[in-house]
Amino acid sequence: MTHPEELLAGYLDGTLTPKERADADAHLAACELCREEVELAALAAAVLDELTEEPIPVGVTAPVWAELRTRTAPLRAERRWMRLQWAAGLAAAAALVAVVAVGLPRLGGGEASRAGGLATMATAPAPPAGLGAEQAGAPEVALESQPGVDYDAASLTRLAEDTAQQAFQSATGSDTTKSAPTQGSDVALRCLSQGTQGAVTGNDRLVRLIQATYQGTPAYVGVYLESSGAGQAATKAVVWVVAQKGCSVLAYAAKRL
Amino acid sequence: MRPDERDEDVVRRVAGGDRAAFGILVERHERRVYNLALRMTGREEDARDATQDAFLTALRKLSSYRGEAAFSTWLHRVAVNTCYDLLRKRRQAPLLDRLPEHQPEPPPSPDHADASDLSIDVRRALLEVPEDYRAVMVLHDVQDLPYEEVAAIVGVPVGTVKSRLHRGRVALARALGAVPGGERPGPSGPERERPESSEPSDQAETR
Repeated sequence: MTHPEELLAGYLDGTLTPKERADADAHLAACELCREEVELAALAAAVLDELTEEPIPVGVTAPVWAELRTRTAPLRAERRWMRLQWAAGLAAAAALVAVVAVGLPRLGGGEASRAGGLATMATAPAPPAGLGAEQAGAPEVALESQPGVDYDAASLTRLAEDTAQQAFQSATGSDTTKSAPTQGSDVALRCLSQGTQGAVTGNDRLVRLIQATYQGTPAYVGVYLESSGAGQAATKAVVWVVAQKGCSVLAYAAKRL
Repeated sequence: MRPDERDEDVVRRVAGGDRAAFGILVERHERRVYNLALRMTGREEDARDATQDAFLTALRKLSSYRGEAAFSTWLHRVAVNTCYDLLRKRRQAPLLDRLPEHQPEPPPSPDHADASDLSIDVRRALLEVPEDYRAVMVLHDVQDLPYEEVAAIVGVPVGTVKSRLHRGRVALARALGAVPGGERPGPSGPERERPESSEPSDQAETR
């Protein structure tokens, strides 16, 4: 006897046509194996139905956001850099031509092709020298130590919201109080920049730097105002949390202005 | 962003150079993708990895999405394939995979402690169901997707979806220790105990 397995799923789900239903009933009346299977399947379907959707842990898609932001935000700066690079490439190529011209009589064609390789390297992308230094207005923010303060997803969202609120109220937000950088600022910033892997760009202005814990883990919290381009008004408050140890991203929160 | 903007329109924007708009799709679908991965892999850390990989892959391959299916169908297909890949890697290096992590343990999800015994049992039992059956079952019975959409996601005919669904359900019930004619869970499933059996079940020994 063949067992109509395709019908048995629909039998339980109540999706059979009257004809299919009659066929299934007829088969079940004659087949104990299928009756047993339907009984088991009903149990499993009921159990699966009880499963609830679980919340997604904080930060799971942070690397995706990082990927999106590295490729989008610095476009303008990147283009400017590429132009510079192209010019630099020309200069390097000119220099190489001179080297090759000098070397050729002695070294022959093999070296010339290596010089070609060097020329390619000279024009290959490299990080713009200026970008690291100007990143996120780094040196102007002191590290706030908040011993005993433990953040979680909710308080992080509030932090982003408050920042967005304040930035919105101070309109341009250009005249924030500047405090002297502390010894810890550097370490915290380096950790944030390492953990976020380029997600924080030169267009993001660091407004607060906090040392606290996140769900019990010692962490650095960086609060940034993000804008679509250098010198443009901020559009979003972004909070990144990295572990003090290892600098991996623990959490991320954002609020549009 | 317009909250009622269709996924497919967002995709068009991303394809048109507005890469940041992909974030809208992440926000809309991350929870479902994560839950799919959680049921498919049975482990939170694997679900996290699979979710990340699925979205990064989707972003990279977005140009291959031609709009012949709903975006969510396409994304689910990417996610299911990511889970298959991850499970295959896990099978190939079952021990290496379990060595201590070099990364600090991620913060536990807030509701995790609430996971009932039932859902832990089911999580474990699901892993004993063949992957092809499990995928169909998770998509249909947990995520409530219709047969046709499951068929489009998994890439098999609707009839195959139905028979896999039936076989998967039977396998899951057996993995949970159920026997035909045995005790059945009441309508309020969570209080259900494993059916008492006089001898230890096979599953308990192989685990």
